Formats: sequence, C-alpha cells, structure tokens
Amino acid sequence: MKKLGIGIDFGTTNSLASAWGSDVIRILEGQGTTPKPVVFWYKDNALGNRPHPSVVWFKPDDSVTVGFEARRNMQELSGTLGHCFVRSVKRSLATAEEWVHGGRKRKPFEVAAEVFAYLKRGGEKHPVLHGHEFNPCVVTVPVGFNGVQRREIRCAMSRAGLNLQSFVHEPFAAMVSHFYHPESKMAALRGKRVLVFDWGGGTLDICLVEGSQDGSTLYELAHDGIADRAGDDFDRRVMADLRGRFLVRNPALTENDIATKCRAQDRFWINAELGKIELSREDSVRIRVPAFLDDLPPIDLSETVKRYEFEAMIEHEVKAAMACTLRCLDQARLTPSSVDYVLLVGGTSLIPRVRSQIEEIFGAKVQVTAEPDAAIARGAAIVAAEEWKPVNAVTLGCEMARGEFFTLLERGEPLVASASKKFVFYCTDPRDGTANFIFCRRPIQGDKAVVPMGDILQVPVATLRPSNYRDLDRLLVRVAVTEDATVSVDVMHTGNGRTAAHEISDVSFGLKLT
Amino acid sequence: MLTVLGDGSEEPRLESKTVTSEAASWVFSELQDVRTIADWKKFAASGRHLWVLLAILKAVSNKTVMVNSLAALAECVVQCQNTIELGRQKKTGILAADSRWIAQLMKSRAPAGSELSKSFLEALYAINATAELGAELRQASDTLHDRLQSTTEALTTERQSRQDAESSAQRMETKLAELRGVLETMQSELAAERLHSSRQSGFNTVAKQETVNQVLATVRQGTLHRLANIRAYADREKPNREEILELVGEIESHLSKVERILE
Repeated sequence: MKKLGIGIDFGTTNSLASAWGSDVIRILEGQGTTPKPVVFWYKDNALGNRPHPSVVWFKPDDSVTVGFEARRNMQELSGTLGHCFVRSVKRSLATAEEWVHGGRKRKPFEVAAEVFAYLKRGGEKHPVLHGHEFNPCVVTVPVGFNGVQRREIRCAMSRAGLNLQSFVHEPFAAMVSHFYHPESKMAALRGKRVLVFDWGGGTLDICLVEGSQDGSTLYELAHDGIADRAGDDFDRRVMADLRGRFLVRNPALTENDIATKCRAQDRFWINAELGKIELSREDSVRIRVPAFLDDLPPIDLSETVKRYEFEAMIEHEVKAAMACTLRCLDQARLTPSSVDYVLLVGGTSLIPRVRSQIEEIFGAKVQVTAEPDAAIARGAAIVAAEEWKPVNAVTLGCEMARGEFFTLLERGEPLVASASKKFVFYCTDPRDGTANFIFCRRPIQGDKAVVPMGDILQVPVATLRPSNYRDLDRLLVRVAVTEDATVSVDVMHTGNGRTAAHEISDVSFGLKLT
Repeated sequence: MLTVLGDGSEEPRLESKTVTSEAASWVFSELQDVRTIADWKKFAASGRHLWVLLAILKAVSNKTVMVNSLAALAECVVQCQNTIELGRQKKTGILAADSRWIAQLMKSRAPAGSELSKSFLEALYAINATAELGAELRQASDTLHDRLQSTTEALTTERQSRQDAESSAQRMETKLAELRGVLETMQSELAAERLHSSRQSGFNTVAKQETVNQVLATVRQGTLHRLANIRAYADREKPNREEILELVGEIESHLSKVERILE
C-alpha cells in the first residue's frame, strides 16, 4: 500500500475527494480512530457534511468560485452582467458547448479543471495531507463515458495540476468502498457476483462485478446506465408539480408571474429536494416556500405532496431503471438468482418504490452503502492507495470470415498505455471495395458466443481480384491501449498504403488486486 | 514307507532343520553302533540304511542339510573302513577317531612284556589331547555358530525395532510440526483478536461520535429549513401564524421521532 492515494468522485451535481494510504492509517490509529478513507467534505452549518456542488462561478473580476458559495449565488446572480455560472459541466464534456466570460471562451474541460483545482485546494488544507502532495489520483467516471470524455477529464486534471493514475467506473468504486477491509482487502468478493445499482443525482449507473476464485482480480462482467434521469430531474419534476398546484390555487397568476416575481428559486429548490427526501420516510410531506413570489404582501407556496403522487411522477423512470438492470444481467447471460449481492448506492436508489422494485427482482440480497455520498470517492481513494491496476474485463476482438472470432485484447490484459500489438489480416471478400473490421466482445469467459459492439472499421481495398489478390489486400493492424483506457486500432493497407483508425471506448474495467 | 523302514521311529524331517549340524548329529546317532564292516553289513541287512538314505534324500529341498547329512554318512563309512585297516577289532561302541581308544588298541597289540617307549606314550597322549581339543573346538565352533546365528537374529530384531523407533520418531516430528502450525495460527489469531479488541475500544469512541453526528445531521435536516421558513413567515408585517404553528408542530414531531430512534 502506498503512503497516500487520492480518489476523486467528479459528479454531475456534486464532487468529492478522499484520501487513503498507510500514512492515513497511521494517523487515524494514532488518534484512536478506526481507519477508513478520509473524505474532504464541505462543512455546512445547516446540513452538516456535504459534498461540494459542481457549480463554477466566473465573477466579473475574472476570479472563480466553486462549490456551495457558487451554488448559493447562482439563483440570485445568474444572468446578471459579468457573472457566468456553469452547472453540471460533466454533462457537457466532449461536446461543442462553450461559455463566454470576459471576452474569453471556455471549453468544458477548462471549466471542469476549475472543479478539480477547487477539490485540490480543499484537500491540501486537510491535516492528513500535511507533508504530502494531492497526487496521484484515481478518478471515477460513469459507465457510459466514452474515450473522448475520459480524455477531457484527463486534460482537465492535468490543467489543475493533478496526475491521473487510472480511471474507475463509479459503481465499481462504490462497491470497492463497501466490501473493502484494510487487512483482508477484497476477500469478501472471492468467487462472488455483485450488482451495483448507483442512482444518484445525475445518472443511473449499473455494473455487474465478479470476483475471481483466487481473489486476485475483480471483473466487470457488464455495465449499463441511463443519463439525465436521476435525482435532480426528480427535483425538477416536484418543482414543476408544485408550480402547477400553485397556479391552480392562485388562478389570477401565470407562469410569467412566477418567472418574473420568483426571487426564492434557491429556497424553492432546497425545500423541494428536502421534501422529496422526506417522502422516503413519510407518507406525505408539506412543502413550503415563504415569499415564493415577491409581491405585496408576499405570496407563499404551501402544498402537500403524498408519496404515491411522487411515485406516480417517477414511475416511468423506475420502470426504465429496472429494465436497464435486467438488460445488464442479460448482457452477462446471468439471472437474478446467480447474483450474490445487490448494492444500492446514491440517494435515488433509497426511494422506497425503487428499493421495493429491486427487492422484488433480487429478494433479500440487497445491501445499502453507508454514507452514500462518499462511497464513490472512498472507493477511488482505496484503488489509488492500493495501486490496483485496471485490466480489461471482457475479451475484445473482431469477427472474421465464417463467423470466427479473432482476439485483439484478452480478458485480464492491463488497461494502461502500452506498446502496440501487431497483426496481419487478409481481406477475403473485397467485392464492396472495403475490408470490414466488425468489433465484438466475448462476454462469457469460456463461451464461444460473441456480441457485436456496433463498431465497424472500414478500410478501402482493391475491388478487382487478380490472382495474387491476397498480397494486394494485406492489412497491417496495430492495437494499443491508450492513456484514456480506450483501445485504438490502426489499420494500414500494405498494398495501397491507405490507413484507417478506430477507437474502442466501451471497455469493461476490471481491477488486478495483487 | 518311512514308517515301515524306520520301524516305528519318528520321521526326522531333515529338510526342516534350521541348524545344519542337527542333521549330521541325527545321522551319527543312527549309525552310532556301526563301527566295522561287519556292523555295516548287519546294518544293511536289517534295511535300516535305506531308512537313513531315504531320510537324507527327502531333504533334497534343503541342500545344506543334505550335503551335511551325506558328509556325516560318508564319515561313518570311512570310519568302518579304517577300523578294518587297524585290525579286525570286535570292540564296538568306541569312535574310530577316539585317540584314547587308538592308544589302548596299540597297547593291546603290543607283545606281552615289551615296553613301549616313553616318547611313544607321550605322542599318544599328545594325539589324544589334540583330538580332544579338536572335539572341543568343533563343539566351541558349533556353539559360536549358534551364538552367531542368534546374534544375527537379535541384530535383525534390533534393526527392525530401531526402524520402528525411527518411523515413530518421524511421525512424532510431523505431529510436532502440525502442532507448531496450529500454535502459530492460534498466536496470529490471538494477535488479530488483540488488535481487534484494541480497535474495538477505539471504534466505540468513534462509533459514539458518528452516532452523535448522525443524530445531529438528522435533527438539522428536519429542523433547520423549517426554522428558516418560520423566520421567513415571521419576518414580515403580518406574520403567517398558521404556517408558523404548523411548522413548530412538524419540528416537535420530528424531534420525537429522533428520540424514538435514540431509544
């Protein structure tokens, strides 16, 4: 174990960093505390330990503020001249979106770099980091992130002065945090299968993990997820529902009145969110927003929302989430009975309707992570400190003539930048003028069945078939793992010199534990 | 057939003799009365020689015994012939090899009144002594042979017992190693238990602190935004009394729930 490793949960709504290592254990044991990864929280007087909101505020004087202070001022100053607020920048990564402030355009990775720099500054003040650098870092990413998005995160980190050790999927990190023990490490998962259901504020991420029999590796058998259908969206639905009721109760008012006179958007949001959280414990909740509309006298909002009404609002999303869970199992050709544990991560997964649906599928195997806000960051810190290397979890290859499968990247091969492997292929059917590389994966180890990944690489070849056509259509293929944990495939036609390249970014992660 | 030839004597079973001299002794005992050719003829006429021969031949499976028996028989025959060469002495019951008997025989053959020289008598006594010494040596040799054999047997037994002891020592060592392993495991378990115990005591403090933090967080989560709302309802020209009272009621019910959780 290293002296110190940093884990960063770069979230859509909130972000959090954590530290773990032999020095942390020594310090905590010296204080008579049970050693567990230290989390660099935001200490809020009203709400206690909270993760840092991923909100970036560019001020008129070109200074930048991130976190709660930015979030507090967002409603009031958003749209005001000279102020620029960026919320949920993670969703904008690898898009063409830009923010203009002070005559300067800012790309998503530049904004994300501000969040990373803020986390670094906060972490460096913590006494545990005394005499240590806030490096190297393991960063968590959603299961649906592609190679370009991962590259943008790497660039953002580099800009913030952070060294990236490796990526790990968010639900995978939460699972590591839940099952990790400082002495026995991940022995609890030897030969076990875990389905991690991570439904938080930003996205739904599901991954199915299997521990090898010898306890040396954790493999991600399958993963799936849904973007844009999570806690924040449910908050917005509750807010929309409350607005609708408010207008029914006050027929003289219109949507336009709310848009112009509502100065309590932030309070409205907080009260709606807290009401939603309370609905997980209570059958009904009264949500109040004093002085909802700035008028004389001020107009208040006070509505009772029942649990079944809220459940009806999110029913469609819950069904979609369950379908996504079953699809994930189907990818690995497993049934609910072959899963040993189901781990619920994130606030949305604790909604009674969601939990009951999961329990209906999996029975009594369901467990909930302690401190769901911090589980992902803690897991990343553990991976960083233990120096567990990412490995490829599912064999990747391409489909050959007569349906044969040719392996390009074996299961268990390290997912770190390495020297390329070279292969030579011959095009057997050049009639359409291209040699097609149809990339596939072999989800079940030892099973011959392959699943197409939807990635096809086409290389121009000679359409004529001279006697020595084999020499003409000789294709030199180079396969390498990139720094962004993607697999790059470069093909060169040795006859005409033409080249083509493709990047496989949908790679399943595993962790080599030794 | 042996029973008929042996005239009711017990079958000797020479082949089963472990000590080879016993077979020769049996042959000598059978032929102890045969000293001369005449004795041999009488012996042969009675058919007893067939009994001896057949007993020797039956020992064909034990070659050593058979050779020794035949050697003893040959010695007896040679003894008979020697007796003839020395004169037809009727006296029986004395071994041809007995030097005392030879001396007496020579004395008796000497002419009456003639004096035998002193050196002749001394030579005779010397021969006699040598013969006795030879007999004693043979006896001693037999005894030594027997002792050697018994010592070899004892040695084999000793070796066997030593091997048994060695294997038992090896077993004991294996057992000891196993016990050592068990002891080490138990020691490591004890150390882990001690560590766990020491941590547990630390954990209790931390757990208490965490519980306090959790309770505080729960109290904060249920009350602080309501308090903020109360402040907002109160901080106006005409306070919203109804909502304030409802909020106070909600805070009270929240606190009572927290109390129930703590109980």
